[in-house]
Amino acid sequence: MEKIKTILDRKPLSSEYIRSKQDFANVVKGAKGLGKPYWQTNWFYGTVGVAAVAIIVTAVTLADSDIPEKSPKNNAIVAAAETDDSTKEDVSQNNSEQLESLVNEEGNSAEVENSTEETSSKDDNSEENTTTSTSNNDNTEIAASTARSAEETQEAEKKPEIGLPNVAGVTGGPIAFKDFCDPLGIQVNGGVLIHQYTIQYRSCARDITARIRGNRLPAQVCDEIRDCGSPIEVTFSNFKAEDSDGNPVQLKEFSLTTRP
Amino acid sequence: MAVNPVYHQTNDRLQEELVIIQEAKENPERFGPLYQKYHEQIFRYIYQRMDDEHLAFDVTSQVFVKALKNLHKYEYRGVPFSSWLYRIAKSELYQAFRDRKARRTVNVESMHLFEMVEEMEEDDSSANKKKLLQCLSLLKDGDLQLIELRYFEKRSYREIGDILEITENNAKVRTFRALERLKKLFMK
Repeated sequence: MEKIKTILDRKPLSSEYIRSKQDFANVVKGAKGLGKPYWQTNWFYGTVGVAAVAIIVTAVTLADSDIPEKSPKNNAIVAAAETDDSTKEDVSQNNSEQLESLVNEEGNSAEVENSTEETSSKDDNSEENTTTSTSNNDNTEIAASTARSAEETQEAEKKPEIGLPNVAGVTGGPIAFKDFCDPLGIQVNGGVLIHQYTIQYRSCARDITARIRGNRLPAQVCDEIRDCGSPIEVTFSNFKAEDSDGNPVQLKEFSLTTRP
Repeated sequence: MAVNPVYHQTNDRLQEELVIIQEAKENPERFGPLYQKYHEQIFRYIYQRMDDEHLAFDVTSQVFVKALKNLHKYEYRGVPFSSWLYRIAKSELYQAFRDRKARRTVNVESMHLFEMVEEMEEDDSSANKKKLLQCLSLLKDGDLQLIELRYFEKRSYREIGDILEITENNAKVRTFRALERLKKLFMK
């Protein structure tokens, strides 16, 4: 603070003069006008609160939308995959019709008939045709993805059929000896490859159990059963197999009875 | 030494004042009697410490605006309502010194100077009065405030204590020490 100023014998103000300067109305007006600072008012807290909640909700919503599993597009694909068989047939038919119309525009009606037949008979060809139509026409993109989903569903439904190992098409019971020694060995529908299995049989008064690598029947086993000359029950079990994607597959054991 | 007759009131007067305050809390228009009662003494308290008359009226008005605005916070503690107003006035006064570049001023009457020189047991010469004025301007603000309240405004120690929010005895001791420091400056 700067130096204090001293005044000696200043002329005093009269009480009347001071009283004349009173202005109570102005004081009341000033007190009413002197509100709370805006940051202490309820509307400010309310506005800030609502804005904060809106920001948080938006941030959470955006964060959720970044997760691919929950995106609407993927939901549509999942929904398409869950369609029933009739829907799949309709979609496949639609794809064929779309493909037909596409080829008609190119003026080659002979190829149309062939491609239509192929589409109805083979799923793989249908997939290729669908892919072609997708690349040529954006309008068929949704139908194509739906068809792919339907095919994936069909493949998934085929999977139970995979686990039926067989030898020359026989999955159990009697089998001719020549079929038993089929050089293709044990086959499984659906592109399953057998890496190992256990064979068990009783041949000429002795029990044999062996772990075989691969899916073929060893020549030693074939010779032994043939030399024995009597019907022999052979059991195949403990398969170690993989499907075409490399996933392990559980196969049921089965038994064949050779006929000489 | 004379005392401020408006400050010291009977218990009945204080209760009457309290009723007005309670009514004013509900309706600001009822604050009028208190405004009329205390406006002059609050103005004189402020004008005593600044040399700008218009600014002093403005600050006085602001004191009552603040008082009316914060009346709901007022709690009766057995002392006159003016002690609360003086505290607001002191705050607004220093705010005015900071914001409006108002200059801290000490207004002294010759009679008061004469009394103070007598208190110091010195000759009542014009040289001594002039020297005393210089010494007052050299005092710290706290000491100067006590000297003003006691010797220039003739307030009781009880009133000084209420204004400065200290006890009556503490006001007495602090005023004595402030006077001792003024004497030391004077003797140099």
